[in-house]
Amino acid sequence: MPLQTIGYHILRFGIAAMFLWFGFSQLFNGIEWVSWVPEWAVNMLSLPPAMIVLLNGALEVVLGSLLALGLFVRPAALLLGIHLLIITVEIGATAIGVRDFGLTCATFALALLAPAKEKKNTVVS
Amino acid sequence: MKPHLPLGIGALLIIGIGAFVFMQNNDIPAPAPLPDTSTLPAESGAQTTDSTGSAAIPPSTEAGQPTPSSPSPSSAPTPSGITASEVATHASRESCWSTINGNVYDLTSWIPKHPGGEGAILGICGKDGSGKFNGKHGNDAKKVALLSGFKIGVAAK
Repeated sequence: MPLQTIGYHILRFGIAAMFLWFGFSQLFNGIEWVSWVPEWAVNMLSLPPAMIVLLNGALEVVLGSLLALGLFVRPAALLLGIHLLIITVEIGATAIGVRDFGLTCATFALALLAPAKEKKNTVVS
Repeated sequence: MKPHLPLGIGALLIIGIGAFVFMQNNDIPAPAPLPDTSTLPAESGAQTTDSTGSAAIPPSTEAGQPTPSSPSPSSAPTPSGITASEVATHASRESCWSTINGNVYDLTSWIPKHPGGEGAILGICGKDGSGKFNGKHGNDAKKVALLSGFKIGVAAK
């Protein structure tokens, strides 16, 4: 298997694992994440913060699962990248924000590396 | 690569992480008994409104009792409040107290859960963490409310 393909799979599984962990964590223990919901999101969605956490967790689990399974990798990674970019901007230039910036870049890179048209598990080269 | 291998790995990843997170969140040790609050200064509203004026929202239940997980204080706080030396004896991962804006908090159970990393909490164990907390979360009412759930008393003047 070409090194690029191995690299792609590592990136895909790594990013998928991250979103799955955070997604499941929000679904199973949402109360700990409520304080991270920004005011503008509550105002914009007109939903209780706890509900936003659950919806966010469900989104991350669904899209993370698509990445893990290698299905619709490009659109899933693109959506997750945009999602993470919003979080990164919200957090700002702190240690967490800078780390998230790197993860955002990795997620966008995954979207670019993914084949435009999915052939079953055929990637990159 | 065999066509079904990445799919299988992906499915295992989903199930594995889901189970791992589920177990992590259900493996919470029973909370230690709360300190004897009868020896604390009279603060009938302490758990609804603290000195910062924020509503108390315990971190784990929001509607329940705060759940400090470290051992009960070795010596009961005096009526005038918890002294700095008493707080200083709880400067470890096993028992982490910190004074923030005149109140004393047992942050032991929050150490592994702090989204910003354990180091931030461990760095204020046993000492006054007002500066660090205010610098990071001082303007965030939700974080202040979250903190109030860990309150165990007021700092001695």
